[in-house]
Amino acid sequence: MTDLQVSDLHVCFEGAVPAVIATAGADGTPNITYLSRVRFVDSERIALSNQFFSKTARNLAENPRASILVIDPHTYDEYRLTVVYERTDRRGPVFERLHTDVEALKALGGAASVFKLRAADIYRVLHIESVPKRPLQGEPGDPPNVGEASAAQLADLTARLSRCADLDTLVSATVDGLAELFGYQHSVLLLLDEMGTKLYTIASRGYEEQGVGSEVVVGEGIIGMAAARGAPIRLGNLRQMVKYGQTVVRRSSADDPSAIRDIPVPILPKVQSRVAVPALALGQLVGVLVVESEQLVAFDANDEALLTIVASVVANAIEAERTRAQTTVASGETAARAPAPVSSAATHVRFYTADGSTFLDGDYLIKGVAGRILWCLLRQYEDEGRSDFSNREVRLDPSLELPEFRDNFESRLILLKRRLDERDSPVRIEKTGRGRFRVVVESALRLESVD
Amino acid sequence: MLSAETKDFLESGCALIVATVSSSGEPFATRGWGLFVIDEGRVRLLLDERDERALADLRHGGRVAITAAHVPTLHSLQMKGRFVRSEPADDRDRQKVMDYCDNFFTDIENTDGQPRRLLERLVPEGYVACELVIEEFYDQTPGPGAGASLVQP
Repeated sequence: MTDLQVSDLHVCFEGAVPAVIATAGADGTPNITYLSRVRFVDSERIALSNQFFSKTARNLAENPRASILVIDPHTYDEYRLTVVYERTDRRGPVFERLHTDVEALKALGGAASVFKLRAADIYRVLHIESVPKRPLQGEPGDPPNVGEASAAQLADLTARLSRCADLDTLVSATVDGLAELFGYQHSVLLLLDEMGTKLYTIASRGYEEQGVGSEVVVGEGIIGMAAARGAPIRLGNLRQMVKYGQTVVRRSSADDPSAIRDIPVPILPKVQSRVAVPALALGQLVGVLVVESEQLVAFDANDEALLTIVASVVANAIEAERTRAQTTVASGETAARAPAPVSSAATHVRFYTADGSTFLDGDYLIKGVAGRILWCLLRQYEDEGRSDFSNREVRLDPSLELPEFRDNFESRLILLKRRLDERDSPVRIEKTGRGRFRVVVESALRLESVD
Repeated sequence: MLSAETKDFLESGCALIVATVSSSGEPFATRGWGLFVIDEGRVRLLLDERDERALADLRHGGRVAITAAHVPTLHSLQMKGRFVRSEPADDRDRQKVMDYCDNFFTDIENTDGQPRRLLERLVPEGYVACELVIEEFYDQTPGPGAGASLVQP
């Protein structure tokens, strides 16, 4: 072994630049192919996922030696590893790490049956050679670790979150604090729905469209996968992974139809790196916190750890707020009569009773519980001239079809408020006190319910 | 043996990775920097002149494998064959390297987003042209069919 250690090449194993493996059969015929992923095992070993490379596997059975090329994505320093096959793992921590990689490919590629990890092949590294290259002009590539945090910064964020008096402020303070204190310019916070099957976007920062109300099915995609596994997923080579996944899917006949979403989840157009961290409180999934970057391998294990702490703080705060909201008696200002509409042009509100889908002047707004809340409020506004409501009375309306346990009413109300604000709608929701809010309508309404 | 389409593919800016084997059976991975199809069974491959190990393997009668991969789609073809002769790269070869790198790096920039100034660090200073006889072809595109033998690509 030279002075270079396997641990020095950590960033090369993030999969940003495809690695290369050369093997040779017993008759001296070589074989060369790309690798979907190389993983660090320990100071002397690496692991390769055994998915498709059958010729490579046959060669290694005859001749255990291999030559591997890896590249540092930030500098394009290239290294040649001389390795010898040592063993195959079909369970254990190394297998699980590679299994997660393959699951992520599955989540991005969409064809579940094609991506299957057969085994994790473990190789001992005999020698590492730095391949000669030209001098680096200017600064290295993407600066990694935007989220390098100090305890003081973390304390600052938790203090900001602790001062939030309601859920609306809390979710905004989370995405704003991540950007202002740690440099995570693109983040999304999603909460688990009442049935525990979907996540919906409650706040985002750094995207052209906020995507409030967009949904992800638990178990689908990288975000859904983090929720289902209750463990962070960190990827630094999304474009490469998507390309690889799509190629494999094209080559198979097992293409799955992709899910159709009403509102697109916020996503960077040229996203390369993503960390999705489950937000857990008292052992229960509350939501998922996501950060993204257009830089290659922008996040490392430190970011993952930091975001796990933040997600946990947020999850516990949300749970505390939900408990308080369900037990606190409403207080604050009241107004019995609805203010007169400002605009005379009537807004057409079409509500579908089947799933709560609601459209304003033909444009999709929201569905589900949030849609039913809006319909309930606007009906009372029109029929009774009411504009002021308390959370407690509205949540008792059976037409909302809220579950008795963990009804998420406050989250859904905030989702609705943010969605109305995002769409610059003539209908708004304003908080008027603890557990109270007002519906502000700036145009005449034409309500239509469709069975 | 090679279709016009395959010839165009191999001579384009596709990623070229190369394996050689020493007389003791030790494989070696390196990169190619451009390729000409001479005729149906022969190619002229440009290697880094500092790749002493690969050149020694080839000159000692070792066999060679070359995988060519289209960067945007990962459509890949592996060729296996043997070394015939080598010579220092000439002006046409050097022009080929320049064209190859331009196409290859453009594809990577557009598809994967890596900046060209980093990619250019990999470019060697000098080259050796190796004439190779190609005897076998394999589909190497990632997926369940990777490694399938091709009679006439």
